[in-house]
Amino acid sequence: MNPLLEQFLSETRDFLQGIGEKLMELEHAPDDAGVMVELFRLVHTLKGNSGLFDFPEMTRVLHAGEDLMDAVRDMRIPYSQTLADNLLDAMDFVGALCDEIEATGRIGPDSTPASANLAAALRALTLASAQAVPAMPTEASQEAGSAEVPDMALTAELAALPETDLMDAYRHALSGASIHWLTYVPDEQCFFQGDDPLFTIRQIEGTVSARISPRDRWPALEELDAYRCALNFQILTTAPLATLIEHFRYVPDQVDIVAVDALSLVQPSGIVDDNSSEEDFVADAFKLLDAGNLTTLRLAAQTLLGLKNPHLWTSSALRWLVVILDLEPTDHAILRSLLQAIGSQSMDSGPHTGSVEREASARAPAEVNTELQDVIAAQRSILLLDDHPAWEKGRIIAAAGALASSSRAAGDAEGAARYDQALAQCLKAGNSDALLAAIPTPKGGDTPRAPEVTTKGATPASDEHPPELLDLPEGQKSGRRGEEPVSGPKSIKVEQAKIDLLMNLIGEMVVAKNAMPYLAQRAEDEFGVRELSREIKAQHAVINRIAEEMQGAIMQVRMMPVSFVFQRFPRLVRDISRKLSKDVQLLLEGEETEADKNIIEALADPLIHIVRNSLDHGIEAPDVRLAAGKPALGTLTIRAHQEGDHVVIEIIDDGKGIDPAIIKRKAYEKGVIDEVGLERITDREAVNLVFAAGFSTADVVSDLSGRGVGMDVVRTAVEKVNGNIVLDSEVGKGTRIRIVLPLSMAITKVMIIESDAQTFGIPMEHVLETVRVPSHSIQTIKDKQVILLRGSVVPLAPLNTLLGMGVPPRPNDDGELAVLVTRIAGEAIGLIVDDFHESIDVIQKPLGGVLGALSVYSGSALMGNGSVLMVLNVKEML
Amino acid sequence: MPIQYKKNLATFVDVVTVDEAEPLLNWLQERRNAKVNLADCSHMHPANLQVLMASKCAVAAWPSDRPFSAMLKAALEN
Repeated sequence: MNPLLEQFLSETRDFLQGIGEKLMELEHAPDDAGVMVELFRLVHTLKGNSGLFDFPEMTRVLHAGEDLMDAVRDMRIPYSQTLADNLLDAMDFVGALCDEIEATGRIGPDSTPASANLAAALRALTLASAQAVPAMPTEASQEAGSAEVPDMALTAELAALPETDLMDAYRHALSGASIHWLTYVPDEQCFFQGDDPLFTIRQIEGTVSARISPRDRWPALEELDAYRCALNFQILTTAPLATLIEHFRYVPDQVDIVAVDALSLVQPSGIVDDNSSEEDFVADAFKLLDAGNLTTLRLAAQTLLGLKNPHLWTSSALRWLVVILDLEPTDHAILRSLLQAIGSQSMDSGPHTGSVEREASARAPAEVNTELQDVIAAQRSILLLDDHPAWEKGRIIAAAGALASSSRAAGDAEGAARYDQALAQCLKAGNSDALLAAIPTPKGGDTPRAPEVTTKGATPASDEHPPELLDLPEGQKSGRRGEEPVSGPKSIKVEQAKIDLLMNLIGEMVVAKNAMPYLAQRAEDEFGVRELSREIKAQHAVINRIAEEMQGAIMQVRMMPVSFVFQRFPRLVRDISRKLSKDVQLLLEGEETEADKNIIEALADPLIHIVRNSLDHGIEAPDVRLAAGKPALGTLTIRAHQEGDHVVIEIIDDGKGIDPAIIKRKAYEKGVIDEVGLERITDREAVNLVFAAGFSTADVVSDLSGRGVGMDVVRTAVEKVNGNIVLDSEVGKGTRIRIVLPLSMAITKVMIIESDAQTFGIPMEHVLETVRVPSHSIQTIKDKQVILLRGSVVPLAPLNTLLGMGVPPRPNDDGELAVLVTRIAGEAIGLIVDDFHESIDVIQKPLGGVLGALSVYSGSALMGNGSVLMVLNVKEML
Repeated sequence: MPIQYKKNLATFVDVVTVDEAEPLLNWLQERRNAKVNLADCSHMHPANLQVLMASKCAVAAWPSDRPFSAMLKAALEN
């Protein structure tokens, strides 16, 4: 993948995120013009960027989105939830396209229809508002021209094609090919974009007939602009629809593809000769057809054809008759209608549309009347709008036009004249009163409400600025990139691998620097140069300070705000709560809290899981909440803050909480706890059992309203990054989940201990306290050693035994044993070791190869004197 | 030259590109009885085609490529 594309993809994801956020903001403040402009800018830039690449699917959707946002920004369309839904869908689609590009390097043809649909949906929203604009046809005229017209238009266009081509296509259609009529209206400016529409058309295989026609009458040659495309291209083709869509994937909005059935291809054409009548032939032919004597019919047609001028319409119809007799002699219906047509000398709209017309004319007058009433009612409601837009005048003209023509269509010429008159009065008065008065009030309907008359101030004259004064209004682009102020980027994007390398290097640096005190020691002890030793120590202090700062700086680079994970929650909460029809407000706090990138990323999935659970099973439906005396609007709070070396994230909902009694019973049934545990366990410990493995099974979920689903997965994920998760819940009040995570995974603070003359490291977070106990105070319960520590019993385990070293622990000179108290799964355990040493910061490296299988070690670290320190995994050991 | 102009006859050769449309238009504007020979033309950019259509000039010979020829005939003969 080329670097430009790579950057585009990474930027696009950022933009999509930004767009999603802005949409969320708009949801709360739909009138915020600043956010709107920002949103438009994002979509606009993204569209521009996508244009650099060959991704028409993506550009098309973004373009439609841009137009929509443009309309919203200019207040032509109000912001709405539907609009946000559509835009979000479109952005999701673009995101999916990005994934596809990343995976395969291109966009597959499958996305073309989806892209066209999304773009059309966005366009529809843009247009919906434009209906009030006078230039647009009014509802009435749109309705009048629906349904039947395309069919008739198609027949008329097909009829204009050469007869031989149509017969060819007819043969193809009968042999099972799908026939399509494709109309390609290239953009006027397409020649400047290097397009060759003719070439595009010629590339299509299976073209039966093609027609290239001018859009308008040709102007005088002197006025012709050779480079403005004025041609329409139409082809009748046997190419499958999918191929056609793929072929025109760059310009789906400029092509119109209609499937053509075999029957609509039967279009006789030619000169109509009113004088000749074929009544005799038609009468005979019908008889022959009824008798099933097709051979004679064919012969008769051939004979008549021989006598006729071949350019006559009748001749053409006869030729069709022969073709159909050859190809599909069983289809009597088509033969009959063709014969009828020959008799009446008119099949000007083909067998199909004939029936449609009959249907249309057969419509009951009452029905027409109601439709007319609908049109009038629609116009009336338009006129009653009292929003007084700048185009109000145009709207009045359009409404008057619609009313007048519908009157005329209903045969009410008087009414039409009345509307025209009223329009003149309206235009004089500048309001729609006269026209409203002219509309007959529907029976039982309310009298038209006279809109407040407000005289609009003169439209602001366009201020003419002197050319040297470039006083552009805010938010309006000058249109030229070069004129925008150049601002250097405030941040740069760096690949994570490079930062990881820096991190490794500083790790080595810290270790190397730690060697200096040993060197100083040697200088003094072995070579007796005290002066040098002191200088080395002084230098060490300097290097140490720089190395620590460097380490801090690099850690800072790796730090990311938790908002990286939080930013997706508004959308998640919106989507889920809408799906569940719950009212939930999301409060995010402390989004700027930072932690190491790896930790933040590891957190994403568990958090989503918890939030989903809270919404699904924690927060109740509005009516349940009201019944419980709570506000209908549930609150989900996600809070992050830093506590010392840790980041704390809390997810708090005010839902129904978890009942510890049910948990206890379920845990017992599942065998998670035994009978003794059941007695002893506190409520708080009980609710935390949802994190226990094996607790999240289906039937527990249903009984427990699913609070246990996958929670052990969440716990595992948190513990993987050395975090800790705790749940508090109060029945009826809500649930609080608290996750504590280390700031960084890179540096681990370990305590060095000694046992059997070897040193080991124990992560500080596992060390509860260190005590030295006299040997005689160790008691034995059954065969387990315990000590009594501040009133509680702590079981003991000698480290030597755990590590399989057959040496008893060595007490110090006072006969005391060193006991390191650690906490595993909420229980304190004392490890008996030989001695404690200092605690140091190390960079832990996981064990590889053969050693990787040793689970008692969580990793190794290099000490300043070059020796290797094995870091113990306390959990695995016990 | 994809178009060879000779007195009142313009002969199209091989692929006639978009750049030829302007000179062709100028050439046609100066002549009333111009003719074009398309026999050796394998493709022409539609800019040229629309110039030919607008000028209604006579075609002395059609391209040898059948479908292409049919397309042009349909466009130019009406």
